[in-house]
Amino acid sequence: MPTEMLQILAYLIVGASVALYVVLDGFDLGVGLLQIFAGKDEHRRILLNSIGPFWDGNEVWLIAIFGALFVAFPDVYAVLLSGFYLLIMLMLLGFIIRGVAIEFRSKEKSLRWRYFWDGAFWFSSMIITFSLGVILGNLLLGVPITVEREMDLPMSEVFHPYSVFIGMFAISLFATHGSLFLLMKTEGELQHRLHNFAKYLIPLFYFFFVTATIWTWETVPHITEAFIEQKIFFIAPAVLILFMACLPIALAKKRYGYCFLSSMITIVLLFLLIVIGTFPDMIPSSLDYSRNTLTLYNASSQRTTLIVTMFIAAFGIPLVFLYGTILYTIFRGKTRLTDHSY
Amino acid sequence: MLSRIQFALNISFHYLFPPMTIGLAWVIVFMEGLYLKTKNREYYKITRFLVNIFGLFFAMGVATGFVQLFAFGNNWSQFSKFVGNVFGSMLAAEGVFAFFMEAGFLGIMIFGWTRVKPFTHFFATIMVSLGATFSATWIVMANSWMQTPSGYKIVGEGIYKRAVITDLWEVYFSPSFLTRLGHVLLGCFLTGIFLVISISAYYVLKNRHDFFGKRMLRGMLWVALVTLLLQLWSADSSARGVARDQPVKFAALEGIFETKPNTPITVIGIIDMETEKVSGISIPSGLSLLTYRDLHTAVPGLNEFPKENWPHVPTVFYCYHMMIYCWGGMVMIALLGLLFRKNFLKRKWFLWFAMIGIIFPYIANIAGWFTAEVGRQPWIVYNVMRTSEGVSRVVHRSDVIASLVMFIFMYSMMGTLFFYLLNKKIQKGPVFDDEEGSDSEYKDPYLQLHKK
Repeated sequence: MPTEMLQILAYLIVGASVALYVVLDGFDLGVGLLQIFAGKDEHRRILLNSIGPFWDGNEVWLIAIFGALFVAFPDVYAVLLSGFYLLIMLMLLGFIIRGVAIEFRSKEKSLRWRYFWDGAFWFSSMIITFSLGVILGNLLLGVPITVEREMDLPMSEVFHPYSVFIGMFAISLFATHGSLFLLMKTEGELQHRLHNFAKYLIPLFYFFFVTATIWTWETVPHITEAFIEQKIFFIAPAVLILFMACLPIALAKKRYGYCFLSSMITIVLLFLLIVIGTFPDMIPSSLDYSRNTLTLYNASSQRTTLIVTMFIAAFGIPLVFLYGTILYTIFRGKTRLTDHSY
Repeated sequence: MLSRIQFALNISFHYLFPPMTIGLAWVIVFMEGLYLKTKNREYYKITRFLVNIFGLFFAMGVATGFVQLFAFGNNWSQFSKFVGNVFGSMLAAEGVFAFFMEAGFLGIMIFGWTRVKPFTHFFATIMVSLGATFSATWIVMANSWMQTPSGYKIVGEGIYKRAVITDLWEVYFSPSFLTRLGHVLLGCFLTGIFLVISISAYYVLKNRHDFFGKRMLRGMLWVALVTLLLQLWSADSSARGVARDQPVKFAALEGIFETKPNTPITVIGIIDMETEKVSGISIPSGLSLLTYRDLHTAVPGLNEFPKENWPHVPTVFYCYHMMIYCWGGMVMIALLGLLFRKNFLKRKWFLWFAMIGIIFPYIANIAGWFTAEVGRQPWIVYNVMRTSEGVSRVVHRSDVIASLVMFIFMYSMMGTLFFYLLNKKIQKGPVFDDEEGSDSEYKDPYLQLHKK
């Protein structure tokens, strides 16, 4: 197989991991954004336990993304992590607090203790979601990468208005996604409450989507070039809008399964749009776009390592899907509290 | 230097947990196996109790371990670019083959008691243990390549320098990999075993949970003794591996400066860097005998090597000896325990000793890891890349300090909470709400199975 094919395959593996991560951890981060608004302790516990067996495995996809980057695109891995140093540290801190909050919350009966950890759970979910969005925003804008493949971006420029807006977009997206997941997992009064949440979250998500699209068009026009050159790519946004339109309809008909499915497809398609728009760039340079940009061709690792990557993926991914299927099958259906729940 | 402190802090705090999860996971497999075989409810209770504790350790391990994969890129971006070809695949494989397995089956292990059949649950427990073990395998593999790099060549120069694989097999199975893996895993098992010993000693002392206390203490002491002897053998081959591959580090372990025949081994001593002498009790020819199986062959001393390639000798020396003393401490617990096994309560001091004995495997793990890593300095990849070359060039001092302060604060808070909860669980013991007559949904899985 020519090296170029291997590079594209590796890029697709990374891309698919990102899409899966956003779809999966997206809903449990979303649950984190909403759990604090669930009202009484019992309801909060149900929400927390709805992601109990899953959140850990979902977070592993983030590890998988960076693992895949490290092996297949070490320069991208290094530039991304050292360039966004403080932001990544903040995000990691978020992940630590979140894991601890989920684990510690129900270990004491006192409500003060529990509500404190619910606050921590909400706060950390916010930080993580926001940081992910801000990083994406910066990657779309382009970052100052030098000839030496270093990127020195001061904190003040990290929070460019556009990136901040993408960060907020991410929050609205995950909150919507999380609420739709919860509708499948809950029943009765709590479900009714969440139904109302979703009714307001979906229009909010529409607002962010439309504004972000226009803003992206204005600030980074080259993203649209691919669509103009290859008209066939317009299928993707068309299907996206179709599925986005499904969200309120399925919600109104109380077909929550379909609703969540549409939400998952919406997220994947959103990500696909970005991939089509930026291919083959991985991190565009704002200093010298044509020379310093890290693309999947100039930033990949050597041939042997790429082949190893393919082997890991070929053996590993089916296994991962198998574990996932087993886990989600065993814990399907409504969440109920037992004595070994969180 | 700041980056080194940060990495050392993160990894040390992280390393408090995985050895316990790996060791404890296998103890749980053992207990659950016994339960399935004997159908004795006592084993069931012990298994559930240990899974509870396991969950706590696991959560901490995951929360702190999450940081590690990012740390390479954050603080060591030059290193990451340099080794990406070689090193990346091991970390990616760890993610795909180990983490997903652990995370997937952990849910079943903790939440699945009433959702799945006992054998499915047992299977999940085994998968979690295997996942934890694989994780250690890949990490030790990656680290061993840093200690004894092989199967690669270097292309490019200066900041464009990259290591490129020439022989994949040699990269994965670098000379030190298998011996070090054995040593690390046995260390993990000891940690798990001594946690159970410590808890059961406490129960015997307080005269609670008779079965867990006495029966477990007796059984586990035997297991401990066997594991300790295996560890002795593994330590011997590891040390000889170091002597072969990293002579500078080996000389630092024992504080050997001059190359002399009949090299002595220090039992206990103080190292003085000014005069380059070790004073204390030592056995003549001891090191020569252990290293080369011969009384006379000289072990090369530090003075054979340029001083800029020396690690920080006192740290290596003291950490290494600390690890060995801890091993001695564990052997004493195992031997004394077996000697007193007829009636523990007569010798309360032993129970106290066994209870605090949990610190031995802990100190040994950390000291051993420090010995290996500080001993590798000043290299990040042994004899290939210096640590100073590996550090990120764009990350500012102030950023590192800020994040360092943040992490120290977080870790101390988490540590406190962790001990508080651990203590609470141990105080409660292998008792579940159902036995206290509350309205929980818990049922013995076997009873449930028969009902169907």
